[in-house]
Amino acid sequence: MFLIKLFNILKGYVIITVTGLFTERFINLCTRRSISIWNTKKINKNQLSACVDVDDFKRLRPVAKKSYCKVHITRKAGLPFFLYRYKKRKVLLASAFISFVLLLVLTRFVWVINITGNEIISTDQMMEGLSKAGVKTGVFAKSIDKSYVRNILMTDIPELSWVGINVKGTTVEIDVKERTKLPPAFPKDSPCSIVAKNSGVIVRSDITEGDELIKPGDVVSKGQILVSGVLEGELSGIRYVHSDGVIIARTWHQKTVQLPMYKEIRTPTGREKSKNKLKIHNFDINFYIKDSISYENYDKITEEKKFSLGDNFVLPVSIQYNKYVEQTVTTVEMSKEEVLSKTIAQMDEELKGIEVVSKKHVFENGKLTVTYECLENIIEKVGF
Amino acid sequence: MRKKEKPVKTIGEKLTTLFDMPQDVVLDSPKITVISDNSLTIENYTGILEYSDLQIRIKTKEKIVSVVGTRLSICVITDSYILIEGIIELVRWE
Repeated sequence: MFLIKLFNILKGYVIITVTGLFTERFINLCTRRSISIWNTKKINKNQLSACVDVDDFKRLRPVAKKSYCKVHITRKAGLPFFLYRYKKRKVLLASAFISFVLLLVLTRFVWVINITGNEIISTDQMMEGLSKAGVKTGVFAKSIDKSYVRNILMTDIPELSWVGINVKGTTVEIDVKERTKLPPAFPKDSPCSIVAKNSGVIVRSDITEGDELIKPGDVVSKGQILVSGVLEGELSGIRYVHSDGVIIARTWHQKTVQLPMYKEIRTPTGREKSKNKLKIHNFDINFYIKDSISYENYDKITEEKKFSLGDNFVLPVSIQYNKYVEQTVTTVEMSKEEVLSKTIAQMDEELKGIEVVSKKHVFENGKLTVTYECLENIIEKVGF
Repeated sequence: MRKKEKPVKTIGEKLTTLFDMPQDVVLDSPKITVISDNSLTIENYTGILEYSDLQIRIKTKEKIVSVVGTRLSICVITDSYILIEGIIELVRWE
């Protein structure tokens, strides 16, 4: 039924009023002559309203004559009549057509690139690699060769381990998995010695290859050879091996901070300016005249609203709201606790992944010294 | 008392019952389908006799079907099929 209705609307139909004593006969004759009429409704005893096809309307005349009825058109409905009404307004028609074509054309291009999953690699770096591979805003979406882009990215950015590329409408979604960064591995088959990465006291050692020169309890300094890759045998003479193993040492990491420390506190003064602009791809339309900001210190808050059709078809038109909030900056001396927690946070960041045994801190002569006692693997392979 | 009428079957009817054939297809007998109380279709009709929003009488090959109700209207009508919508109270053979 729905399809028939749609078809009727596309084809166009007229709603007629039939006036006469024999409206039943009128309907009978219509069906006999296969004139399709529908939605008949008796208005009163002598009047009937019905819908008739546009093409069949001319054929109603002999029927009306035969059944002594009069036929009037009450309304014309459907697409052809609707279009006829706007026939004279050519500019409207043309602009509707142009906007439709523009919409079709614009949704074929890439306007947004989303990169997710990158921590080490900066988004700028990814964008650079992508634009080298031919993925940038304004590029035809179908022209993106995923495997080619993937190859280029993987060879360009060595930190990548996996790249997923999804083209969804006008957005390109790039999902990235990064390699966990490993220290440059020493080639397995070339001979080497092991030196200390840090100074400390050897706790235990587990050497799988090479001549061990230290024993637990030894104090070693940074750069000292711990395991030699040169083996001297009485029978075999001098052999060079690839030393390997684990040496755990107790090490101390220290950080000294000069007191007092200062920090900046920013408080908004309540004065603010907003400068908004309309962005059409790379073209900006500013809604303001003066570009400079008279404030000495300010925070800039930028918010961008993109126009889109649904979730996927993001159009290259956006409004950018820029808000400049004036700030007063005052320098305040940090309390000891604040300095301590800040320094500890820094140390924790630096010594990520190393087992910390104890933390100590001393305030002395206007200085703060934080000492971490750690247990760490101090192996560093060095070739000859 | 009225004498009981004996049902008379034509040869066609006898044949269709014998061979289990659908009557409405073979003999063009009218077929009425009523859905709830709001729509009614009649297949194999011959013409409309009376049309108002309270009663519609339709001629079929054998008898006249009278549909009584309120706000009745013929929504679809082709040369062998009628769809009546409205609130149907009664369907009667005359």
